[in-house]
Amino acid sequence: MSEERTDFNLSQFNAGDLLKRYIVTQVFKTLDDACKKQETISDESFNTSFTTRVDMIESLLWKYTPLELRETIIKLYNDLDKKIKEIDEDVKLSQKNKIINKKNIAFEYKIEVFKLLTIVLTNSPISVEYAEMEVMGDFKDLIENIRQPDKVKLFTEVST
Amino acid sequence: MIDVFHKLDFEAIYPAPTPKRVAESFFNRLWRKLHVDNFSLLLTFYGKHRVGKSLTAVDFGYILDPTFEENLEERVVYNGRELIKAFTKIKDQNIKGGAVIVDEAGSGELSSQRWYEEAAKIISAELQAVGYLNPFIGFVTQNFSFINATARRLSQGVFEVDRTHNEYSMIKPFWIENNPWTTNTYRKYPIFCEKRNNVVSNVFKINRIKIGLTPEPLLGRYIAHSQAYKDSLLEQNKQELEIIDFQKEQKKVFVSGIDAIVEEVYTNVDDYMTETKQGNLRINEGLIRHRHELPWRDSKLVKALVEQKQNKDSDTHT
Repeated sequence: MSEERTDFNLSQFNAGDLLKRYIVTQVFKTLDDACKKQETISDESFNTSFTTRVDMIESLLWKYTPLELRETIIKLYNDLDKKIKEIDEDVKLSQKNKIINKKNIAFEYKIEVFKLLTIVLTNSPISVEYAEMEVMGDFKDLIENIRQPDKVKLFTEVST
Repeated sequence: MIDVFHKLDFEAIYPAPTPKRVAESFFNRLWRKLHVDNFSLLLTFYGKHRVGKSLTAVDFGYILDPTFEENLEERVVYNGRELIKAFTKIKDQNIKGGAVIVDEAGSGELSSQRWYEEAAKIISAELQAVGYLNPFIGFVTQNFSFINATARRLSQGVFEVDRTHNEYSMIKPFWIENNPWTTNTYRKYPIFCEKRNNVVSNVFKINRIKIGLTPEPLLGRYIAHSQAYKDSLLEQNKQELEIIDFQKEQKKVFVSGIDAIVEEVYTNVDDYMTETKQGNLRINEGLIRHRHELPWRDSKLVKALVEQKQNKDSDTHT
């Protein structure tokens, strides 16, 4: 019996944020399990446990996914649809081979989507990062920038 | 092979906030608290000797209050009287968000603990009086436990100051939170969680503030001001030592005075004798008290010493 993986390199998270750690651990564990089961979920479908779970994680994280990544993910799906359509239209392939090919191509695309989602996950409010601040010199710039009624944000707002 | 992942510029999508920007956001929050949200601000700076906690407090005052620099000597206070004076001036001049630094005075006129108790009382009272002007008050102490529970509860933030370099100090910032149900206080790092491109980004905890040397001429003025206080402390200590010496001398004179009276009473013991109802003669401490202007306690002591001397004499004769 293989050992169950419990450490997902989560040392970046504060020990106090146990709930967040738990959520992130569950996401990674679910995917880890799913990757072990690569069989298709039905004879008709090319979807596997892995691709289904990537979809689930995607819906969980969509709220925190920035526009740039959303566009990239949508583009990946469009490409995938195109590839699936090409395979469907290929008359030379048998139905069984069509499903095998679709399964392989879907896996490739979904793994790419998953890689992007891991970045979203580690940059969402679920994760915590430590930041350092620095005040050096004559403080003139700092004083000028802080004495204003508008909130000074960590990031400059980019209009969407 | 699809490779979108490596082609994307994640640093552009998720830029890390620069330490300078974090400082601007953090101090802007404090400034807005005083000037926009109309709150007072009480912060405590603690750390070992010579780590720069007083200078850090001065930096905070300088950054947050535009009137602090010109009034530095009046705003960095070392005792209760100066503290009240600073608040009175802030009130008279109607200064909003005026900063006052309550520097450590453990070796001053009161013990550290009593000083902070006094300070807490004054601050509580003054906050009622000048609360509408939203002052910023910075406590400076070597040990956070010096500050009593009331003053500790007043503090909204605690800054642990340390120094490993001559050019800057390192500060761990903590906000103090109270649990009203259990009367416990706990501390937590300042947190930033912001939307970027309409999407909530991750939580940033500020765990370190690197603060450079106080700019000139503020630094020089603070050093001169604190040195004047330290000199006055030395002078005060010198005077206290002189008082102790004087008291010791007084005690010596007093002891020799008692001895002389004992000798006098012993030599002319008959003058101090009175007859009891039973017809016995005894030394009367009332007479000793009257003739030598002594308190009852000392006249009794003189009587006891004389009697002891007489007993010794009678022992040697037998």
